[in-house]
Order: sequence, then C-alpha cells, then structure tokens
Amino acid sequence: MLSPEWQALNKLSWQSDRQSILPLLFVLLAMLAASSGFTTVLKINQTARNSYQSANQALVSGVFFKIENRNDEQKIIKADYAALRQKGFNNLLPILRTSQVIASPDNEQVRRVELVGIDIFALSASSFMNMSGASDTTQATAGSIPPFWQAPHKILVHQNIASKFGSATWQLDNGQKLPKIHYVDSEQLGNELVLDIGVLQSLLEVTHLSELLVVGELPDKKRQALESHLPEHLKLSSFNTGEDAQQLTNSFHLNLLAMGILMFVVCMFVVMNALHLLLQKRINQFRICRQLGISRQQLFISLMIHWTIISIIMAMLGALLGAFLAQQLTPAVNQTLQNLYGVNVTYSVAGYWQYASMTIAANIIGTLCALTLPLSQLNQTLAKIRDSRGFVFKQGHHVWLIAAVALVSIAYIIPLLFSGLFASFVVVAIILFSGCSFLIYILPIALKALFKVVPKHRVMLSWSLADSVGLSRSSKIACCAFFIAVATNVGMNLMIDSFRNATEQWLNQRLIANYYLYSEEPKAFLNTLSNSGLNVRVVPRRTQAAVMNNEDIRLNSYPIDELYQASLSFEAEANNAWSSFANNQTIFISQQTANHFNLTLGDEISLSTTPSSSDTPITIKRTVVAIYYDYGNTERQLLLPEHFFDESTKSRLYGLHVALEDIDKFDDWYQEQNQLSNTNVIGVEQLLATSMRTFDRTFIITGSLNLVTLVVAAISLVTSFLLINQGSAATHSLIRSLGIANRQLSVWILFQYSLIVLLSCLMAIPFGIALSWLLINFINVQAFGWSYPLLLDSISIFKLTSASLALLVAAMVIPAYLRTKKPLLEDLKWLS
Amino acid sequence: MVKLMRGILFSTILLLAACSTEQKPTDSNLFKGVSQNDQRLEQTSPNYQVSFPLDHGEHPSFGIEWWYITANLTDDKGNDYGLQWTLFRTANPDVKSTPWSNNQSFMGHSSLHGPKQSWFEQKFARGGVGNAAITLSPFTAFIDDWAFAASGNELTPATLNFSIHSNITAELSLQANKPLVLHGKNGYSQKFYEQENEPAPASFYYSQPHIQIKGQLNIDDDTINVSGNAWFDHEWTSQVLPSDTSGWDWFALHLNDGSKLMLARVRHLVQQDHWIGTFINSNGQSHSLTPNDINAQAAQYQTVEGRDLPLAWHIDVRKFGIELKTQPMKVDQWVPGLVAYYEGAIEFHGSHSGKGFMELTGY
Repeated sequence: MLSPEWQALNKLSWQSDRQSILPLLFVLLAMLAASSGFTTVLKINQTARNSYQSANQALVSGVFFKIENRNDEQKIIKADYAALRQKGFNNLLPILRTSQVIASPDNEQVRRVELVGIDIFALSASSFMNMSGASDTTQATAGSIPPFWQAPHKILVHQNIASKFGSATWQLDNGQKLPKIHYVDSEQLGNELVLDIGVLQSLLEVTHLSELLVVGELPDKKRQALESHLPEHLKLSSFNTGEDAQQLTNSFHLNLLAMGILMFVVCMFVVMNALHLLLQKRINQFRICRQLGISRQQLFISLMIHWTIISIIMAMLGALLGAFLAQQLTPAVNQTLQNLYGVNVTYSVAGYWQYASMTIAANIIGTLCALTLPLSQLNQTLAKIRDSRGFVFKQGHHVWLIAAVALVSIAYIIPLLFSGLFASFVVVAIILFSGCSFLIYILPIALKALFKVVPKHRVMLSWSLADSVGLSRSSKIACCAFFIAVATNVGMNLMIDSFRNATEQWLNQRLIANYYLYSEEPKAFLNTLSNSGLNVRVVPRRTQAAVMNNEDIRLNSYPIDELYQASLSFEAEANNAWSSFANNQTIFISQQTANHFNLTLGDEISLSTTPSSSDTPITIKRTVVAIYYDYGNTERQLLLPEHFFDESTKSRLYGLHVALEDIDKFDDWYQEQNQLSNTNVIGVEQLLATSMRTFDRTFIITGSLNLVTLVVAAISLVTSFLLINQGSAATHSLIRSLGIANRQLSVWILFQYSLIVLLSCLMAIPFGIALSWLLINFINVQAFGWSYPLLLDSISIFKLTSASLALLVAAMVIPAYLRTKKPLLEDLKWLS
Repeated sequence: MVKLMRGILFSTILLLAACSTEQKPTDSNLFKGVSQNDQRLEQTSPNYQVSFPLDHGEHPSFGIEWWYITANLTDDKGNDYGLQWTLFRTANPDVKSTPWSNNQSFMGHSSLHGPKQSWFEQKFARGGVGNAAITLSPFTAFIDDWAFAASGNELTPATLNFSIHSNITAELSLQANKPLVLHGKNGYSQKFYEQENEPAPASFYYSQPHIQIKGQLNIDDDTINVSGNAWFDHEWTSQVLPSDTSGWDWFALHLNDGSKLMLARVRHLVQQDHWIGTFINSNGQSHSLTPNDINAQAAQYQTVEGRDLPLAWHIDVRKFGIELKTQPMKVDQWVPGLVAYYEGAIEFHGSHSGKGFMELTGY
C-alpha cells in the first residue's frame, strides 16, 4: 500500500497533466513518433534479413545449391528431374523462372513480372506442412492446403502487392491468359508471381525447367554423389544469394537504423523540451510540496515513475503503429532493395512483443535521459527557491569550442585506426556532434557581434539582439536538434543529387544504342530481325562467370570501336589503355571490383573461367589498365574485348543500333513481333526514363525519414520557444509597461526566433556539405564500392535551407501568435 | 482390406476442386467432399472380372487406388518390428493435364516401428512427371527411390526398398507361394449398407497375405537382419463412404496355424457399424465373412496423440473357431502424416496366437 505522500504525488502528477494539454500533447506525440519510427526501422530490417534466408527461393528456405544446364542448347527437362529423384536425390525442387511482360486488356496496363513455376509436390513433407500451415500434423485438414494445389490453378501473389495487379485479367505477350490471381498473406512469398509449373509451361508453350533447387544442406559426400549422377548437360552450382544479399544490404540497413536512431534522438529532444515546459508550469506545486515536507528525492522519483508509465504506454502504441507502418512501407523497401541489390524482401509476420519490448526499453531509457536535464534544472530552481529562465548553463563558454575541436580530431583519427562501415557512421555522428558543440559556441558570439554593430538608437532591435544571446543559450538543445536535422537533410540531399547527376551522365554516355534487347532466347528475334531488311547493327554483350581470389566475378564483352570507346568513362586509365585492350592483352575493371579487391592500375590479375565451348576451366592473366564507373551494379565485373569470348557464349543483352532512317520502320516492325515471348526491346529514352524513375523511387524512404526528422526538429524548437516565452514573461511585461504594443513585441520575438534559426541553418550548411562528402567518399565506397564527384548545387542548397527556414518560421508563428492573445494584465502581474 | 480412410483424406486434399478456396472444410465435410460419386470417374461394378497381371497395375480412370504392404518382422535377437509401405494414387478430374503432369497424384507412406522408436516419412508426386508410377512388366510401384519391384509380371518374387529420412533404409525380399485372395464377391468388396437411392459403396480389393519377407534394416549405423510375414493389399474405387461415416478399423492377422484373417469395420454416426472380413485357411482357400459372422469388441482404450483409441480387442469368428484377444506391439504407432492415422503391429492370443497389423482412422 502506498503511503499518503506517494498517493498525493501520484494524483497530483496525473491531474496536472490535464492542465497543460499542449506540452503534454507534444510529449505524447514525440514519444509516439520516436517509438513508432524505431519499431518501423527494426521491423523493416528484421523482415528483410529474414527474407534473405530464402532470397530468390520463393516458398522454400535453406537452398544453397542448384542444378542448371551447362548451355542453352540442352536444357533441363522433367526426365532429368525424375531420374535424379529415382536415384534418391529427393530434395530437388523443379523451378521454371521467367521474366515476362504482361498486359491487361481491361485497363491497358503493361507490367514486367517475374513468374515462378513450382511443383509443390516435390517439396519435402516438412516444407509442405509448413506451407500448408498445418502446424499440428495430427490435425491436418484440407482447408490448410495452398490454393494452387487446387484446381482450377491460380497464381499466388502476396497481398501487399495487390495494388499492382488489382482484379484485372492479364495476358502474356503470346496472348495466353494468365490464371486468376489469388492474393495471400504468406510470409514465404516475395515479389514473384508463383504458379504451378505445369500451368506455366503450358502458358509459355515450353517443356524445359530453369533449374532444380537443392533444398536443405548438402554435405560433401552427398554433393559428390549428386555430381557423379548428373547427366553431362547439367551442373551443380552454389546458390548463396541469401548470404550475399545479407552482406550486400548491410549498408542499407545500417543507414536505415542510423536514420531511425537519429529520428528517435530528435524526438527525445522534443520530449526534453516539453517536459521542461510541463515541469516549469508546475513549479508552484513543487514549491508547495516541498513546504509540506515532501523531499526533492520523493518528488523526482514520483515524476520518473509517472513519465516511465507514460513512456511504456506510448511505446506500446508506437510499436503497433510502427508495425503497421513497416507493413505499409515494405513494398517501397522491397523496391529499393530490388533496385539496388536485386534481392527480394518478403513479408514476415513477427511477434508484436519482439519489437515492442525493444521499443519500450528504448523509450524508457530515452525518456529518463530526456528527464535528466529538466529535473536537474528543477532541482536547482527548488534549491534556490527562485524562478529561472530556461536552460542556463554555467560552464565556461569556451568549453564548447574545445569540445568541437576535440571531436573533429577524434573524427580524423578514427579512420586511421578503424575501417569499415560502422566506423564511418561513427565518424559521421562525431562530425555532427562537433557541429552541435560549435553551434552552441558560435551562436551567442555571432548574436553579440550583431548587437554591437546595430545602432543603439534602434532600441527594440538592440534589445531584441541582446535578448537573443540569452535565448540562444536557453534554446541550445532544440537548436542542436534542428541543426542535426538540417545538416543531415542537406548532406543526404547533396549526396542523392550528386549520385543522380553522376548516374544520369553515366547512363547518357553509356547507352549509345537506340534500342536494347533483353532476351533469354534471342535467336528467333534476331533471325526475324536479320530478315526484316532493316539497317540494324546488333552488338551482343556476352557474359561469362569467372572466379578471382576464390570469389565469383563476371566477365563481360565490350566492343572496341570508337563509338563504344567514347561511351565508357573511367575513374582512372593508363596510357594506350584501349590499344592494349583491343589486342586482348589487358583488362578493364569496374570501380566496385577495384575497391573490393584493392586493385589499381598496373596490377596483374589472375582469374579462372570456363569457356562455353569447353568443360575445362582456363586461367587467364591480365594487367589492369582502366577502372571504369559502373554505378548501381552489385556484381563485380570486368571487361574484355569481344573476340575473347566464344561465339556460343551466353548473351542476354544486345545493343541494337538502328540506322536513323529506319527508326520508324523498326518501331512498326517490332510492334508486329508480339508473338515472340521472353523478348523485350526497350528504346534508349524509355530505358533512361525508367532508370531515373527507379533511382528516384530508391531514395523515397531516406527522403521521407529526412523530412520527418526535420518536422520533429521543428516541433522541438517550437516547444523550446514556448518554454522560453514562459520564462521571459517578466522581461516582456516590463517592455509592455513601457508602452510597446503586444503585437509589436510579438513581431520582435518572432524576429529573435527567426534569427537564431537562420544562424543555425547557415551553420548547418557547411556541416551538411562535409557530411555529404563523407557519405560519398566513405560510406558509399564501403557500402556499394563506388564513389562519384560531389555536386555542390547552390540552388539546391538554398532551396533546402530556405524550405527548412520557412517551415520553422511558420511553426514559430504559433507561439508568437499565442502570446499576442495574452492580456496585458497577465504580463503585468510579473512586475508585482 | 481397404485403407479407405487414408484414401479418402488424401483424395479429398487433392480433389478439392469442388471446394471453393474460401471454404474451410471440417472433418465432417471432408467426407462430404468425396462422398458424392463423380460421374467423370469409372465406377465399380460387380460384373467386373478381376484379372492378373493386368489388375496389378494402376486404374487411372478410378478415383482412388493403393498398393499396401504391412509386415511383422523379427530380428536375430527376437525383437519385433512393424513395417508399413504404401503408395496411394488419386485421379483429379478437375485438373487439366499439362506438359509437366497429368491429372494423377501419388502419395507414399513408409513407417517402421521398432521396440523403442518409430520412424515415418511421406512423399508426394504427380503423375506424368516420371518419378512416381506403376509399371506392369515387370511389376513395379515406385515413388522416387522407394520401390516395390517384382522380378516379373507376378507380384512375387519381389524386392521392397525404401529409406526414411537419411538414417533408415530397408532392403527386403518378398516371396509368396500361395494364390492371391479376392475379397468380397470375386474381388468386388462392398463396404457399407445400401443407402436410399444409392448403391452400396464398394471397391475392387485383393490381397496376398502369404508373403514371406526377409532382408535388412539399416538403422543409423546398425545393420539388422529381419524376417517375418507380410501382407500385400491392392484396392481401387471411385465410390466412397456415405456421409456421417466417422472412421474405419482394419485388421490383418497371421494366425499361428498358417491361416489368415482380414476384418474391417466402417463406423457410422447414425447407422449401425458395418463389418466385413475374409478368412483364408492355411491352404490358401478364402471364405468371405458376413457381418453376422464377426463379433469384435474394443476391450481397452488408450490415449495416443490426444485421442482415445481402441488398442485392445476381443475378436470372435466362431464359424472358423477363432476367439482372440489382441494387444498392440507397442502403444505409440501413430502415423503423423499430412493424413494422420494409427497403423501398427499387434499380437494376439486365444484360440490362436500370432501377429498382425491394425489400422484405426477417424478418431
């Protein structure tokens, strides 16, 4: 049973909250935003990581090997599969995978989709049970059988991408109608459209398979046995997409987590400010409590318990909201990861408490930290038994400059001692904190300097500037939050703009053919094209897998004529690079490959590859003479001249150089070739537009998080100014008593706030540029393997900062307006 | 005798075309789903003459079919083992044939019950793919690498090879020197009473109960030599049980005088249970049993996998001087497949002693 003192304190806390609705609302909203943002990030990351375990292997997990045909001439057929099953290799899953353009006659929409045909009967019984949802095998019922076991067969699509397909009917290029789409909420489904393998074969009018997945572990002994039983036209290859995806996307998830934490921290600044405001409003209550004999310790503990309870409630609600947001954002995340890394994110159903517990813990810790400063201020106030205005720190002011310099030094030393993505993120964080320290140091000094240059007969302006010095000290926490938000915003946007610009330039330079043909089976298309009478130069881009330093790489062919020479841009190139390349003596490597293997010009590399016309791998040695830009490519690629490759080497991409006079005819001719399945010809303009649209979609999430952070920082500043307003009541009443109109005073106060915000914004710009440089030259290189020139677009920076400024000024009109409504009497009472 | 319950459940799963995807079948409508005869499937007729070796093969125009082996094995140390191997086939009239598969489906069950442990695995395959099928010359029934393979057109001599997961393999040879047994009237086996406006459900059903089986069981790293009696069943039908059928109990008993006894009961929620049976004397002559010839009562219920199962029975077939008390070889012989049921070795005493197999479904 609680003592009467505790009961009274508890009751007092809950009742007081009702008296201060606005700051309470700020606290609750900030806590909700912090916890929902945190949960969203956690859930997205976890969902993505879970799905990498089954990446590229819709419906089945734990696939490490696959069986595929050695060449396109002799493909896998069901007899190969049946023979292997009869030999005891029962963990094989036949897959027919194809990328197809589907169209809807209902709404004339066209989409490129990944169709996956699968024979579910081939799954092991345990996988089948899982898929069926029959957790209790003794209770299996027909209701638990997946719908595509049931005739008429349907296509399974995850309901999260239902909006892409709707209820329209869809058909393939060859006019075959796709089965009805059935939307399910199975965590095993990715972005692919899954259907029965037999139905897919019928639709495509083919009888072959793409691959046989080997489900589950394959110990060495069993692998050797499997390899010895494979017919000559088949081979076993490792299939580590899941692990690769996890490795590749670590940077994305770290970035997302960093943004989530940033948002959480900024929200906690809001909580801190709003809590201070709330406590200041209750100062008289606390004084009375003290006079009644309640100790400060009791008072503080009761407040901590009170806010901890509220933080738990808000964290639970935030976790719910976060789970919802994560579900809504998953398609966008999927889009991003697919664009960047070519991996799929599926939709996992994780327990609420798994995330809620972490969010609750983070929210409690955050809230208690946010309470520390207001409580310490309250402690000082109660000890002195006199009012104080806002956060006034007594430390020597130069400490902030020393801290800033020290932090910059640490940021400089860290990359010398540690490497890796995490260290780079730490450097970024330290740079931001050093910026905060410098801001705290420079803001009052700058304001003081302004005060000194302003003529003293401009009384209100002088007062305003002089008072701003104090204001800047009181609002420094909120200013720091705003500074961080603006600097990150500027940094991220500059980085994205630079990346976009570099990509666009690179694409424009690289895409020199008028059309590009993507096809698994181009023979029919190319035969028809050669008989069309059109003047088209076809340039195949041959590709062949290779191994270098025990890692998979890819060799691509590259033409050597002048047109193609001009289209390849290099980060670095040796003299006479093209002539030695044309003689098949040297090699060009992508920037990613150079960074990954730590290669530079003049290095000799040795790699092993199996020509398509042979079964025996050969080792080739080449000197690196050029490092070319290859943005957006997650593969480590190397270029060799066309004549290095056999004629039979696989090529899925062809450049089609259509003579200018034949372009219209080509379009008409291509329209007539709809019956050719598995073939997609895209015009260069369309390709460019699609690439850039994809690029823009890729950064939607980070952009949105940036904006949220900025809004939260704005709220933080507004609450801070509300608080300061309250603390400045005595000064304001004095000014009003001198005959200054309330509205005029409010305008000057708004001027003060705007000036502080403007200075913070200006300070944030150089730090934002520094951040952008770090992101491009450290984070990008480590995460993706490529970098690009930093594009300093002053218009873009101006737009960003002025938008931030406008947002803030608009937000600050609220406290300024509120104070114009204050009756004179209320201000004057401070004089008594 | 029929393993009709498993067939029903399996076929229900694969024949769910009649069921909309939104429908959530319960146990009772599981039966309804297949209790109406599908006119697209061939129906059983009492006029059909079962003939061999043709009828060892598959009958794809019929809805459900299975090839079933149960065996009571003993190792060199006198330990008992119960073994079951089954290949089920169903036709799915609603499924269109594709380049990949036809409208047939297969399910394989293998289980082995040792003195302490039991092992089970199931497999699924579609017809037309090539990894599950029945061939006639020589006769084989296989799904992946599980195979019952005769050396010629006759059922025996044959081998049975299968594995359960990666730690159990069975390599057995089967030999029989007595004739096949046609149940019911020349293989036309009526399962239940005639219903109003509907003929009595029936199947074609024959057995080879006189199989001598021997070979090796490889359990983990141990090789165990075993021998004993096996019972082969082959049954096919398109007619299934009336609605309100609650389950099925089946016995295949090897009596110590060389005679064999098959009994089966269809349990009905409303009507009286229906018993059928066949007594085969030591010379291989079979005698069909009517419900009046059979008096069998559950003597003891025990809980297995949360279900009360009649594991001990009193069986009385006075017409042939048989009065038996049966006990399971061990209690836990539950088959935890997608279609789950109880199927295990039993032993009995009384007028005769011996071993056999018991199947309990629908509990």
